[in-house]
Order: sequence, then C-alpha cells, then structure tokens
Amino acid sequence: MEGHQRNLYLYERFNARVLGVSRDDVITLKYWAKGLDLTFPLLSNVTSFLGVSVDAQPDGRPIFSRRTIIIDKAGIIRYVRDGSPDFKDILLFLKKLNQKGGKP
Amino acid sequence: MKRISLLFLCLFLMMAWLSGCATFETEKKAVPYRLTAQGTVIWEDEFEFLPPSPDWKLLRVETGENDINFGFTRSDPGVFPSMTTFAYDEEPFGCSTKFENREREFFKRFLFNAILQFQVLEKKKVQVLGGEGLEVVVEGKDPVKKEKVRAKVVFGKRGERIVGFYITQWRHLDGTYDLSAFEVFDRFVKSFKLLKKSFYETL
Amino acid sequence: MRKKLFYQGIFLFLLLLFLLPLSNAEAKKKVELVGREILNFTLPSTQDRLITYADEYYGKHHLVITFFPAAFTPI
Repeated sequence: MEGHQRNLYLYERFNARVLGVSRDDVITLKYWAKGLDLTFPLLSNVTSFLGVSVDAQPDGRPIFSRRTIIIDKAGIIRYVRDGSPDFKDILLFLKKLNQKGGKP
Repeated sequence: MKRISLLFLCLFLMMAWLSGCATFETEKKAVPYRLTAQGTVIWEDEFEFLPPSPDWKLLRVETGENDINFGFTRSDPGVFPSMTTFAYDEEPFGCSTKFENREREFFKRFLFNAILQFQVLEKKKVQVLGGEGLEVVVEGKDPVKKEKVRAKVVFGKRGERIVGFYITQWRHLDGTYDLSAFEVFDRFVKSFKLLKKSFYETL
Repeated sequence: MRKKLFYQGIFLFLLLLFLLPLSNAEAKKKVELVGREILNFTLPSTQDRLITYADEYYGKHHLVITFFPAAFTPI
C-alpha cells in the first residue's frame, strides 16, 4: 500500500484516485492505515460482495486474493492485474488513460 | 523400430544440450557496474560514485519492495556483532515527499526487528545530490542482547521523490565505534551522482 | 514396443488437451472483466465516512482499487 501512497501526487496528475479494499473490519484497517500513514481510504468489505463482483474472492476462503483493477471515469473496468500491484505498470496505464480522455 | 529409438535418442541429446546452454547463460551474467579512469564506479548507467576500499564487499539486492538498491559491507574486528554496512536506497521506508514527515515514517520501521531503544544524536540540513537533504545520526541499544548500533541516514531528492543513504555499524554494548567507516560513507554520499532521470521523472 | 509408445503418445496428447482449457479459464475471466461496468458500491472507510462510488468517483476521477487479503501483512 505504501507504493500507492508514494505515487499519490502522480495519481492526482492523471486525475485518478486510489482505494484499498479487504474483508477486515474498519477498526483493524484504521489502525493499519494509521501505522503506514496512508492518506487515501481503505474500505471494509466484510461481506465480500465487491470482491465477488470482480472475481477477487476465491471460493471457500475468508479473504480476498490480491487484485488491482482500474476503472475509468465512466465506470468501466479497463485494467485487471493479479498479485502485488505493479506500480510502474499502473502509472503508465493511468497516463495513457488520462491522455486519451478516458477512452483508451 | 531402430529409427524410432534413434529419433528419441536424438531428441534426448538435443534437450540435454539445450538445458546445458541455459545454465551456462546464467553463469555468464554481466556485472551491473563498470569502473572509470577517474576511479569512480558507474552502476547500471544510472549512478556514479566513489567506491570504498577493497576490504568492503559489494551487496546487491535483486528485487522486492523495501529493499536497498545496492551497498557495501565489512566485517570489523571484535566480539559479535561487529560489522558495518552502508547502502543506497531509492525507496527508503515511508511515503512522504517532505523530509520531516519521511524521517518520522522512516524511523518507525528502520531496524524494527532489532528491537532497539533509539536516541537521536544529530539532525541537520545538508547538501546532497546537488540539492537539499536531511542528515540524521542515531544510536540504538538493545540491553537484552547487549548490542548497539550507530547509524547515519541521509535523505535526498531525486526529482520529487525522496531517496536515502544509510550506514549502520553494529557493536557489542561495551564495544567502541570506528568512526573512520563513517568517513568512507560520507565520501560515498558526497561523490554520488545521478546520471539520468528516474522512471517517475519521465511520466 | 511400438504399441506401448503409441498409447503413451495418445495419453500425453489427451492430457495436454485436457490441461489447456483449464489454464485458459483464469485468463478468460480477466479478459471478461475488462469492459464491464463496476457496480455502484457503498462501503465504510478508514476516513470515518461511507464511500459511495457514484458520489465520489463516477464522472469525476479514474479509480484504482487494490483488493488485498489482510491488514498488517505485506501487500
């Protein structure tokens, strides 16, 4: 998550925002975010519906898998990548997305 | 029948030969640096600096978040622990682009696993990488393991982002520090040059 | 000898055929997601407020979302 925090000034430049989502409760997330000095929100999705909607919830497990998605201004999913976020890849994608006015 | 077994033998030999080639290639990996006539080291065509004397061994970390780019380490005489290490780190602990915040974030995590009681010995603004920087000298003690460490961290800027140099010198709680190693570190930092823009600066 | 090799070959070929679509399944899922609309969600946040996609991001900003397994672990 520090990777996102370090790149916030660049996300701002490309008119992007960032969120982290897990199935932790809000209190746990708040303590963790405070420890990492995060200034962007983390969302608590205890019931997992948002993860399920983007196939980030493997069957039978109580936690999400690692997955990063990018949604353009019009609400369309444009980028999906599993595993730890590839921050440089995300930045390059956002730069292109922003240049094409949200229509890559 | 003979032809089929001959074919399989040929395939098998080819596979064996190819696999041998693969291992051979990894052994012949090029070193990521070269020496200049002036005695400096050019690292991956990106950095240039004055290397320490040959009694320091090169440390190189391949990949991974929260890892240094490269550094040097030396075993010192005396009771364990007795070693000095210094390194350059493109992404020191923390996230802020402001020195004061980054310093606070950094020391939350620095040597966290060593469970030390830290004391700031010195903190001052310095010139590094051709711009403003922040230098902090700390001492950490572990009365349980009877160990101590003296560390100096120098924060500088590469574009909008903060980069870091650090040196740590470990000693037994009753041992004495060798400050000449810190002079080697200071020379390293002072000589350090950025040869090209970082990925982030090109965005 | 020949017959044995022949059957072994057939077996390996069938095995490959069987495994190929399995490896494709995950790749297909990812491709299907791209182009789909995100559902409008509201969830509690670490900033002491509920965050609703439509209010904060829709029509305004691109959004990067990282789903992660657990807090206090490396992501």
